[in-house]
Amino acid sequence: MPDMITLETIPFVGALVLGILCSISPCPLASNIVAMSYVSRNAAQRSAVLSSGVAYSLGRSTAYLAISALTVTALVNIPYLSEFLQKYMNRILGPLFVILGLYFWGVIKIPWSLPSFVPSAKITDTLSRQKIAGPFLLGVLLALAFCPVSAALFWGSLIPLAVEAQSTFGYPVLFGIGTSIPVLIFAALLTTGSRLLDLMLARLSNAGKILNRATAVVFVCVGIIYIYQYYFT
Amino acid sequence: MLRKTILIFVLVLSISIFSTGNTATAAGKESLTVYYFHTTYRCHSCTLLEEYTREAVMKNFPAELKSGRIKFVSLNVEKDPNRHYVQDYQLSFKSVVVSVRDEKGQEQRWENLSKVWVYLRDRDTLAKYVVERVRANLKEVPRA
Repeated sequence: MPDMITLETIPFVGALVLGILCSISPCPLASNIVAMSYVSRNAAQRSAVLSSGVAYSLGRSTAYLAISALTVTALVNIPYLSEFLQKYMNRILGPLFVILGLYFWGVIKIPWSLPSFVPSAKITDTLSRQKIAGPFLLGVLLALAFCPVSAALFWGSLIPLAVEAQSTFGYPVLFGIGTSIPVLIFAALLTTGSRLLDLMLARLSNAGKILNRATAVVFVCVGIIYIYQYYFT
Repeated sequence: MLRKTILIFVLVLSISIFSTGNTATAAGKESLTVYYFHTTYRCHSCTLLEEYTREAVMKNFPAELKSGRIKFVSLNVEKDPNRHYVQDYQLSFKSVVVSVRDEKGQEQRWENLSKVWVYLRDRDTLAKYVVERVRANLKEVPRA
C-alpha cells in the first residue's frame, strides 16, 4: 500500500506508483488482457513484440498527457469530460473489440490505411513492420476508457501531485507507463522468451494464424463482457 | 480583600458558565455529512469503498450519528435530484465528500477525500484517514 507522504515527496515516483496501482486494480483487468493478447499476436516476430509493448505504453502516456493538458488548462468542464470518458468510451470498446476480433479471425475485412499525415512512405513502412501504430492506438483508446479506479487515481491523486510539482508533462507520462507495466513485463518476457515458446512456434507452420485466432477469441470474449457490463447492468 | 477575591471568583465562574453554554449550543447545531457519491454502474472497488467508509463512520462516531450531528449519505449522482452535486463538488470520480453546515443549514466548507482511492487496499488506513478528516472538519467549524 503506497504511503501518500511517499507519493508526495519523492518526485516522479508517486506518478509511477499511482499508475501501477491503477494497473493492478480489478477494473482495468479486461483491458490488460486485451492488450497482452494483442501484443502477443506478434510472438513469432520477437522484436515486434517489444516495440508493440512500448508503443502501447506510449499510447497510454500520450492519452493521459492530453487529458492532463485539458484538465490543467481548464479548457473543458472536468466533471463532464470525466463522465463522458467513463460512460461512453467503455460503451464504444465492447462493439469495437468484437469487430476487431472478427477481423483478426478473418471473418470481416477492414481496409486499413495509415492516415495521410504520416510524413513519408519510409515511416509508414517502419510503423507497419514494427507493428507500432496499432498498439499505440490501442493504448490511447484503453487509456481514454476510464474506469472508476483509474478516474479516481488520475483526477483525484495524479493531477493534484502534478500541479503541486509543476510537472504536468512528466507526471502524466509516468502514470501512463505505470498503467502499462503488466503489458510491458509480458512483452519483455515474450521477447527474452522461453526456449519452450521457441520450440512451440518453430513446430507450428501456421503459428501466425494461430496467434491471430487466439487474439480474436480474446477480443470477442472481452468485447462481449464489456457489452454486457456497460449496456445491460 | 476577601470581598474583592469573592467578586473575582464569581466573575470568573460566570464567564466560564456563559462560555461553556455557548460552545455546547454551537456544537449542538453544527452538522457534518459524509457523502458517498456513486453512479448507477457499481464496480467492485466502488462498493468496497462505500462499505469501508460507511463502516469507519459507524464505528467511530456512534454518538454523533445518534444525535444527528454526523450523517452518512450514499447518493446516485445519475438520478435527477442529485445531478447538481456533480457541479457543486466538481465530481470527476466516485467520491467521498465531507460537508459541514452551520445551524442555519448553510454549507461552511467541504472536502473531497480523494486519497480514499489510494488507501482502498488497506482498510485500516482508509478508516483512519476518513476519521481524521471528519474530526478535522468538525473542529474547523467556527464557534459562535
